[in-house]
Amino acid sequence: MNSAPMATGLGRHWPWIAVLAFVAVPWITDDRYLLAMIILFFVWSLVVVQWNLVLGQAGIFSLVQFAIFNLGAYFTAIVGTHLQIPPAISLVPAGLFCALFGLLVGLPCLRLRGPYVALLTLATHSVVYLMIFADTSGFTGGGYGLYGFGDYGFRDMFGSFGQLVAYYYMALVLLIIGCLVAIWVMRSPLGLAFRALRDSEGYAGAIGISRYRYQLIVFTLTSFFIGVAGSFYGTYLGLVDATGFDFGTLMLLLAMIVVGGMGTRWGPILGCALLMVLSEFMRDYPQWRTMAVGGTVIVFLLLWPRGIADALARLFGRSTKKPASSAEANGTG
Amino acid sequence: MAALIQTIYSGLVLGAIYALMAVGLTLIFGALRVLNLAHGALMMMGAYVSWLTAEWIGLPAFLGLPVSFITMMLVGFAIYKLLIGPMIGKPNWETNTFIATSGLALALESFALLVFGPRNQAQPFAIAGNFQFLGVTISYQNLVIMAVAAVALILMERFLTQTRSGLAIRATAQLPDAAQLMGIRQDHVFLLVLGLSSGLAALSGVLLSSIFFIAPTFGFHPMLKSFIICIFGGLGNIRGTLYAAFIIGITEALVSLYLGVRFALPVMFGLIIVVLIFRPTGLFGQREVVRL
Repeated sequence: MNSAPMATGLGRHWPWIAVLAFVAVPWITDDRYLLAMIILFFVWSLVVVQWNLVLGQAGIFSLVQFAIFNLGAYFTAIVGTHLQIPPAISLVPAGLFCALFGLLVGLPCLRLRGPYVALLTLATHSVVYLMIFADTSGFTGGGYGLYGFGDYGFRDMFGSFGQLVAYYYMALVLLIIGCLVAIWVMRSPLGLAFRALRDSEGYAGAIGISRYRYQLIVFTLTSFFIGVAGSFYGTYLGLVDATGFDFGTLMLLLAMIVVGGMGTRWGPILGCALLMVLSEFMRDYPQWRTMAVGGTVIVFLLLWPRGIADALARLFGRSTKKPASSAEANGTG
Repeated sequence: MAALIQTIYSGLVLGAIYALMAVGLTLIFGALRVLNLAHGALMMMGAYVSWLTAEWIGLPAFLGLPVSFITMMLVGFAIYKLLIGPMIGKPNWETNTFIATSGLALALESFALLVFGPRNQAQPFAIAGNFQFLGVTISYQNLVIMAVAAVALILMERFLTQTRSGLAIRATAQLPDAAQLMGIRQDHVFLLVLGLSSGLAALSGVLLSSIFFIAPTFGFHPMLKSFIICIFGGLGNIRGTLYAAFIIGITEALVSLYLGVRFALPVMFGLIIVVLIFRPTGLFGQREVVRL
């Protein structure tokens, strides 16, 4: 939103300037709607930043991450409803549960390549959705969803408006942690391993880099953060239901990553901001919204196939790192 | 026993429709290496076109099928020219076409919702009535479905094996570079494949809606099933896809009978996960040789 054009003048410090700007927002405005929108932006940003590691860095074309996000929310809602465990305590366990789920999904899926991974993970998404939606025992709430499973107690501590601000800062902190982890993964031996695999799979394999093992690590790690994001989001809404698995939202998140720039550091967040702002513009014309967003995504992909982060970097004359191309990384041909 | 035969029979009918859908998907993947997520939306459009020819234009209902086939074929050409063609070969094109076609699908679905409303419509391309045979109730419409599917698939087979264009498609699917060196224009092949595949989607949309109903989002779950069938048969493998369509159709009918309809999709997905663990390129897929 406010960060990209600053990239030239303020060099590499603009992420921290953006953070400071976001820290200041609740002091400047008391517009509840705006704050709620920014909270949503933080949550989606956290998800797409982590998902981007899977897609862009590890080169796994996985669609199951959105189901993992929902599972995080469901974990918190289910233990809150049936075991009376408050969401503040189940936040991290929700992430761990999702990491375990990610590991279990990754074990078979990551043995496959390219399009098979996409289809199998999409199938997994649908199975999770159908199993939750079709449940009539009341365990998952089925089509009605679960609500009233508790919250973090922000209302008692900070009052009605302070509650929103507290959620705002919590989301911001989660997003910052998520971004730092993402940057760490990109710079760590993990990131180097993926770069090696991308540049020459044969040589990388010859010096003992196992694609399967590294992909599994990233898959599990990102599942943890996506699960935490889901748990937070479910608690913030106070309601978890099966409409969360909406295919349109899944594609919207994926489009954020791709439009922003898959495999780039800040691209997914830029894409998230862009598509959310666009979606807000269309708020008064709900029947045209999906068409406008779908059309915009197509136009952006036609104009800037590497994403807007890459296009901006070129515009401002900064040297661009070659983004991870899933096509090359997967070697589907 | 009669219930079992009835179930297998309805599985065969479903399998015939799935075969039409899945062959279209696998054709695109085989030649272009593109996963077309708009296939379900094209199916839905095809069903509406058939509905429009009968209800709005007032032509006889049986014309719905050919009109829908031709219209959707033209739509397929347009999709290739405007959407997929310009992306092929560009950076990230495999991901970008996936996102772009799903964006198109969402746009088409909300367009249909806007124009036709959320109400379910009945497909006019349908014949009422049925007869009993060996204790199995067979409706005329199911016979029509099987006949249309069989004719379409046989024509498709003839087209792919006996005509120059069909051979060009298969050559491109096998070795794109070599095919191009032999003077096959890749652009024309891709255009043709998109048209054919969209036409097949339209046929399956009309047939499927004739036993269920037409609604703006009714193509999504059948498309998921078609993807499962394509994986099962090996992506790009047409013969394998045909077998898989009938296996999945009958499995779905059996699961619906013995476990309940809501378990049909989960069981299928579970099945495919197991298949892929042991045969990573599908039941009939050939092992891809990975070159370093």
